[in-house]
Amino acid sequence: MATAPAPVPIRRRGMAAGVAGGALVAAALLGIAIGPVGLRPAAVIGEMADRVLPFLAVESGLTDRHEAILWELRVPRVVLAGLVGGTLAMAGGSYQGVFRNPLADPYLLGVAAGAGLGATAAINAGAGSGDWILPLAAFAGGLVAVAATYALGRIGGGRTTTATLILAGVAVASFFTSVQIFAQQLASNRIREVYSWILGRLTTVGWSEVLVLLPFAVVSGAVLVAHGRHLDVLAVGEEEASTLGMRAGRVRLTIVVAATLATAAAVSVSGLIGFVGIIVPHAVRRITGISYRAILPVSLLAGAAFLILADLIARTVIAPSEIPVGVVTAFVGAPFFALILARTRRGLA
Amino acid sequence: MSLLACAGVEAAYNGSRVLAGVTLHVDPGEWVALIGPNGAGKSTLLRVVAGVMTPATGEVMIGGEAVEGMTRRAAARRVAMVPQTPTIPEGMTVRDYVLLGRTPYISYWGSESAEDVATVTTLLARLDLDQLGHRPMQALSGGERQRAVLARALAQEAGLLLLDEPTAALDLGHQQQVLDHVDELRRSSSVGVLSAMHDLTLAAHYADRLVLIDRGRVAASGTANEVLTSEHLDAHFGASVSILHDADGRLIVAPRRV
Repeated sequence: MATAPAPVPIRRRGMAAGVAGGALVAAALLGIAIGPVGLRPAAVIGEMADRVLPFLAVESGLTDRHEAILWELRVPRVVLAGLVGGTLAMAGGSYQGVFRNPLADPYLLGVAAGAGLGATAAINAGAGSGDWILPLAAFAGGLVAVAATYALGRIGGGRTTTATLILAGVAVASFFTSVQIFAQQLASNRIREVYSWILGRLTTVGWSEVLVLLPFAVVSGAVLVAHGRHLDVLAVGEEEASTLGMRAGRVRLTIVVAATLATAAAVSVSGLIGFVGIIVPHAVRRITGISYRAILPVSLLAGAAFLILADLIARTVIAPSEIPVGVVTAFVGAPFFALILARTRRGLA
Repeated sequence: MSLLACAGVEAAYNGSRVLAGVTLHVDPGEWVALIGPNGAGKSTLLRVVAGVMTPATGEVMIGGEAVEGMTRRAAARRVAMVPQTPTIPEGMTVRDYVLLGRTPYISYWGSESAEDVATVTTLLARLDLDQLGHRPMQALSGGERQRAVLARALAQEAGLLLLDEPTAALDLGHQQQVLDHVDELRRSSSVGVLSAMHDLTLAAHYADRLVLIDRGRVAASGTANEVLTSEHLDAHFGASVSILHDADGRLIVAPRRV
């Protein structure tokens, strides 16, 4: 009587991962090739193969100046966009799982604003862009903010609903943002530095931002992906998860800390880039189904591809000047958010 | 030795006392029904036994071991709970939902083994759910859904099964179907059952013993004939009933209009 489990969802998950991976490769190639100085994709592939695979000697035909553009400008920027996008998307998916709330997102929960305040304080104290103290200060701020949002969301009820959590996040975000602006005005000699950072930019020369973000992204990413099964169990709520043998409170805390660390590290190098954490996991969930074991890794790939493309748009639409990439993500994200809000209205009460 | 032994269990929510010293026991293969008016403390007692709520005083022993000292994993291998209103995750398939019951057997960083999957396959067949494994939980009827929740609890392979109003939302036929499954299980694998029940006639027919709880205390306990008297039901439920017996001598609680 042992009928095989339906194989369809598994195949769909594999397919989703394949599509997201393919999109990432395509986005990365476009991002590297397109710019004020066009680089032929074939030459880019040849040059990268030459550099990355030591046993291959490919003559890409790029001049030294083009090679410098490739390795010092384009590639670091695309890698940074990919890391930030993937990290934000995965953190967003994790928050949605752990709070059992489709609208939970690093920005709506106030985490990004808290991280912004932490980073601003560090910049005021003399830290520069690409400094390792920046993500740590951002992490501290982000953790305080998410704790404040959660505590505020529970006041009175004991149980958080979608609406109370999001309203609490709005309040916390406004508060932290106002303190952040105040801190920014205080140190007027650093204001340009803070301001260009707060708008959400991926401008980078060389690899220093990538190197700051990479260890945080790898550690928190590994922790979150490894907790996919726990998030699936938490879908039945904390008490039932606990009768199923899970230390639900501790698991929740671990996931929130890892997601906050990921967000803070991303915010500390790229500034405030909204909506990636909500658009990407939602789109992914529609294809992979509801298991976080599939949602989180696929969101990582899809988020990377999404932000690389958003950044490509940000730096090309009004070239030679750039618009902040946060403007692009918000332009796409806000209507998408409204759509999700309409679909989940029943759960809001 | 009793499978479950509660001794002098007291518990409170935000300072107001809900359980005021409950002592009861359940033996392996035995079915004990908790009856009592709304707010009597039945659900709270089940939560304390499951270990998700800590008693203020008193002791809950399962298989001679205190629940309070157990890890969550250890407790979930000994006690399984069917909640009154289970949370059904939107879009989760029946098979994945039942697989959640294997959580206490999966290591922290691990995932389900082939053995876990096989256990679930067997359970789905046993509860007539094998055709529905790939369906989303939302697509099931009330009776099918309740069987899936029961299957999840059975996947924990625990010696003690707690049921909180397992049939509250079901029609008569599906109530009997779910209770028959539980009855067959406790007879075949000597699982002990502690269930909170509102339907007194069903409680009388399925349970070996009844424990009447009122205002956090055990008001009466024993066989159906001993506990379900019109005096008890009047005193503790404020209900006017006739206690009848059918041709086979089984007890029927019939509400009576005064």
